Amino acid sequence: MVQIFIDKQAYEVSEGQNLLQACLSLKLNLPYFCWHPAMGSVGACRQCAVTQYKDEADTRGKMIVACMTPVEEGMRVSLNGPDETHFREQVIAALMTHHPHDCPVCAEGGECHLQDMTVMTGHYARQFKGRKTSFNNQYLGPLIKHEMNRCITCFRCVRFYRDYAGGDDLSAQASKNHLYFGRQSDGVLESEFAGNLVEVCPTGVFTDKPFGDHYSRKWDMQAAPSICQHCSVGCNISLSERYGSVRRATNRFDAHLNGYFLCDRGRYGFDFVNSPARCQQIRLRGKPARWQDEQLQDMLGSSGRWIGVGSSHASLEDNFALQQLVGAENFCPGLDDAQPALMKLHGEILQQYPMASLAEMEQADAVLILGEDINRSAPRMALAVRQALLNKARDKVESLKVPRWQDAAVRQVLPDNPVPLIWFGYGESELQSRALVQCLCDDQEAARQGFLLAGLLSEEAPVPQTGQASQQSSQAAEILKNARNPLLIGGWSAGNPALLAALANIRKALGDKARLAIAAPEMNSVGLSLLIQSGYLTQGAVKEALEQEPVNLLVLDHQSQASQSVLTLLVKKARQTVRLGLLEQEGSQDALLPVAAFSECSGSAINYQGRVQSWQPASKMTGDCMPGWQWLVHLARMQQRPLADVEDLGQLRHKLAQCHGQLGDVWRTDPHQPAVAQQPPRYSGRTAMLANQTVHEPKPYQEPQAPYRQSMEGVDTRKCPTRPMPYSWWPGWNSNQSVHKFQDEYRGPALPGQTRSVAFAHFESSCWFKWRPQWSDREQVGYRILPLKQIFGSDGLSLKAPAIEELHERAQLWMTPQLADKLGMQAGQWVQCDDQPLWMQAGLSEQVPEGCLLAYVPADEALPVTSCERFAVADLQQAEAIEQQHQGRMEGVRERRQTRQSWLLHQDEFIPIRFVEGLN
Amino acid sequence: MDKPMTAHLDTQNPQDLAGYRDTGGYMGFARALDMTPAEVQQQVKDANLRGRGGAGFPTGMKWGFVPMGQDAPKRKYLVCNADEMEPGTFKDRWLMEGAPHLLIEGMMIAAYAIGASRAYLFLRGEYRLCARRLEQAIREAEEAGLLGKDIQGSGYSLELHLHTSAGRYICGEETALLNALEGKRAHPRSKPPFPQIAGLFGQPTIVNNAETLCNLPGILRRGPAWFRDLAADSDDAGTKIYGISGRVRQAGLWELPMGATARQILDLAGGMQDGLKLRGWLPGGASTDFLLPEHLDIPMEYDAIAKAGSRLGTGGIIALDDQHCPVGMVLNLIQFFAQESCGWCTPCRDGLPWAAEILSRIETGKGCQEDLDELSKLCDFMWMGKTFCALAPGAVEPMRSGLKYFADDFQQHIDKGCCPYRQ
Repeated sequence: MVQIFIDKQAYEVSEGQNLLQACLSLKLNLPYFCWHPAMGSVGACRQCAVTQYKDEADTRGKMIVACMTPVEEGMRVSLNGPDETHFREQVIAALMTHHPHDCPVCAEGGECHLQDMTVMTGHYARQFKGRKTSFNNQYLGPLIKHEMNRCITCFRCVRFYRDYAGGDDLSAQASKNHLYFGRQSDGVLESEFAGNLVEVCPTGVFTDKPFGDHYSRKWDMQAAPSICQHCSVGCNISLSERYGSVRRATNRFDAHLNGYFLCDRGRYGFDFVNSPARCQQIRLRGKPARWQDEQLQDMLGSSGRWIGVGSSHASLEDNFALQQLVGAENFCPGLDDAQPALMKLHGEILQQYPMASLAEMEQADAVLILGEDINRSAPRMALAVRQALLNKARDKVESLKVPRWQDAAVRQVLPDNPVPLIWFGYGESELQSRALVQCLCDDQEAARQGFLLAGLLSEEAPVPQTGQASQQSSQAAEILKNARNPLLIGGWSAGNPALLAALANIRKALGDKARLAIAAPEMNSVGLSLLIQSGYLTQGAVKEALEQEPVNLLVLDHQSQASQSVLTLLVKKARQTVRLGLLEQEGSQDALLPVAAFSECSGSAINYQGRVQSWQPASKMTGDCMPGWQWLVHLARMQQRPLADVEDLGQLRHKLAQCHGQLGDVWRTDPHQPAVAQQPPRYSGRTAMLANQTVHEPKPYQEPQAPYRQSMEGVDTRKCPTRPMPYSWWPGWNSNQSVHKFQDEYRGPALPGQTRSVAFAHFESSCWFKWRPQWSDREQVGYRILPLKQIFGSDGLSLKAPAIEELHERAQLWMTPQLADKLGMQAGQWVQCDDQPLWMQAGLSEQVPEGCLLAYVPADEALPVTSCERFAVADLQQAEAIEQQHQGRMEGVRERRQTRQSWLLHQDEFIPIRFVEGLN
Repeated sequence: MDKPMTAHLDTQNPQDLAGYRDTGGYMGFARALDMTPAEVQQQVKDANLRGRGGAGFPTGMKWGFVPMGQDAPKRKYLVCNADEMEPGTFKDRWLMEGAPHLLIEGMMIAAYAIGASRAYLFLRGEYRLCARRLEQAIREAEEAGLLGKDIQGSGYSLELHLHTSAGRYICGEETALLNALEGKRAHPRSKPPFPQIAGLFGQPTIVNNAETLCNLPGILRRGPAWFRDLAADSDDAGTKIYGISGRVRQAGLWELPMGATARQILDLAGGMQDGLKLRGWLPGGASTDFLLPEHLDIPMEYDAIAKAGSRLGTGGIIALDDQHCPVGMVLNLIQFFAQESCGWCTPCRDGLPWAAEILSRIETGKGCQEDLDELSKLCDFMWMGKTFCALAPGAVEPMRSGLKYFADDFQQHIDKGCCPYRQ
């Protein structure tokens, strides 16, 4: 800590930060634009100017910009002297010379950093008498709207897009006061992090397009702290609601996980909750039914054996309730053959080692990625790894006596100071292209090399009897040995548990200096790992049971075509099937019970680290929807099973914590603690929004004993920053930048302690995993097909969001140019494998291991084979038909988007009023 | 009078390698090779050579910041800043067109002194003739074994590349120049880190002005004492290429000892054109403060000019006569600087066009009294320490001094509602 004097008052601030950071950490108001807590300082906008004095006697001082000045012991500055306040007002006045006066029609209005800063500096009247510059706007795809006239040239967008996230199709163009931030020509922004521009831009140049289609002001939206549902990272998000529909997802700051940024699947994927395909009604054999219907009651109350099929898309509570209802011996965790083995192993590893948070990943000085494309399976994790790659450059500038946060200097020395990234695997990706040591191999070879690498690091590590450590493995061993904070990353994408075991062995060999992270495919995959510790049914066992006796199936919702086709087979053999469904799906089921989405009821999931994270409802349930666990409790009562005594979510969670002691008091809330108000203090229309339907004012909705209330009444979120915040706001700070008022500064010298509980808390002593021959002895017939993922397409839930569906990738089959030559195929042709009906577009890449093909199959299609021998190439007619089909689908998407929008706008006038007392 | 830089300068038929050698060319470099780099640096320090690009920073001292010895980075760079874009300044062009080998030799000496194995000559793109002649000179030097691997058996190797700039005034700022040379946008970099420590491609780099480098062959060949004696009456050492433009009888360039007066230079140009009187002058390019006829006898050296309230800058004088509108001249300059702002920092990017807008209104007679206050506020807004680099403060200099010295003219524009010079 050092002592500094601001406006003659002494403050203690931590060393190593810049003066702007220090002032904001002290909750002092100092305006800024180009600085961003995660992106460091460049000193472009000059908005944070202050006066620095040499000593007490110095009264003139010298003007400096706070973001470029490190704090020093005894430093004297003034924030509120006449010179610097005048200068800061002049800066705003200069920025405003070209900023349009369009706040009333700007989507940023009301949460605009530029508005806030303008008010803060006191600038109110325009002196500039010239004309404003005007620019052309570009089409940047379905996610982001471009309005260049509003630009104040802070350079944040390109610094985020290019420097921070590695995109290259957005750039600063032209110069002087005609600087233009855009693409070379109109087109969809390529980076999967483009959506962050919406939050990074301090004004309304880049705005959220789907949100703009069904827009509401920030102050008018009821918000809830939530968790992203689209991968195992579990980024913290905030959902905003108005008139009964969820409008948008925004980043919710979390020091350990997502920090300030999300990926686009997370930001835009939530929209499935507004899909017309949402199940709203109880259905019996396809026809709408009522709960009281005898037939339904009979079916649900039927005795006999019930087998439950859980889902990693469903909450921990729902899966637990199902497991309780049917019993652990009748609980199958999923419909994928490979998953249970991975779940089991992931769980075992979690009991031995803590997993690195994203913030910890950013501190690594060497990275090993083993057979996992995190750019696609856990994009936010890849973004964190990207930041770690700067660490050597940061050390270098520090050795030159330049602070680490001086971003331009860091990037200047970056080429000669790379953090070694070691990549074993296949497929092209951003991280792969930046790897210093690269080994192109399939998952089996990657796992084998992983085991051998562990063997190079420790003599005790068990190694496979066949195979030799490659040159890359030896290089990797050297690098990892010498690193201070090596980071090891793997995942489930290849469907091979050997990769996980290999990583665990490397982790053990390196000791506690190493950090480990394993990306699971879905939001709650790890949650199921926890539940199945006491045993489970494999898919094979389910099939067997179905053959042997009449069995009732109870299925939690699944969102991929692959699991759907498995389910279809099972359903045929089952006596009857009850599905707890979120979205309409083809295929038969005897009964369908509609479940509430994550935006409508509380729930929890366990992320890749084994940390339990809960979400709160942002809106209310509609139709017949109920939380999955609540349906299951009703079923338990009908069947007089163990769950029957559960009254509310609290009791269910209590039971869950009893079964898994380490969960302890994860969900404990103080019953006397008043609920947090989910509506901001300036929420409007409260008494008017239902006036066309009833004169009664609805009772504020609150889940039983929940610490949040969908009302303006309750505790102001600012007053209890320890509870996850529904939205971030502070007087004078209407934008998302207000977050500094609640946090110590972002990822400063010391990380704050983790507060979330670990579901796998009691760390067992670590053990070596032995190599199992079956991991590499798959029968080789023809070409192996290795799975490949895509951000927009591999996740079934987000595919139901229209904007994501519009961007989704079609099925692809990648091969080496040599193989294509041999097979007489060309890039872009449509290909079928063996007798599979799926058409895939052929792509050429050098990043395909020998004897293999890489197949990407969208979640709404299936390719149930792992190897193939023959290929059929589409002829002209077929290709045309495929193209037409796709065009048809895209037209359908656009149409659905249109109709959905008018439907939503219509809905706004008739928001659900079932919570109004005396009605419904 | 000794003219070490221009004695053999010929813009029609510049000396080729043989001719240059006949007049003592490359002897300075040969001397340098006989010394250690540290000794070369000491020679230049002793000579008291100061940078001729405008800032006047002692060259030897600048070199002294470069890490030397065993532990120093292997890659180091010397960059010649020949991106001459300052309005009213054309001295480097004269030198490069007329004596290309002089600059090449200077660069070789500087590169040797800092242990650079690669040198870049960053040339203004429009200087096509310079490019051709320099290219030719480099080729000749390479063929003669003066450039390349193990030069003259000394063990020292140097590659020299000519880079023609894609344009823009900001590239004259040394760190923006480095960014441009790396293929990035020409934004200035923040200092620290200084280029001497982390410059081109993150490696230690020295950026010297072309004229500065042209002084080196003489210093090495004839010694620091000789160099200091060239300007015996001055606080500064050596000779300087001075120039004058504007409505003088014969605009041009002259190599004179440091400390020559503007009056001498004006006399060399034959005085003002018939019927015109000198109203004011910018001593060293467009980004320096106006001085008045009463200042004509001040020696044109760094400190003396600074004392008078301006800067020596490039030594390229722009003369303002009494029949030309000072407001129009300031407007012209500010429009140039507004056009050339790189757009990185707010005061420069948005302040200069703002000033240009006000000035153009005043010039066309549509100005009002408040505009004058606004202009002086803008001068303050873009002053030293408030902007990212020196472009805007430099641009402000003629405006600020113009407002001071030609206040009457500004007032008349407003009072009469038109430009009095255009009646």
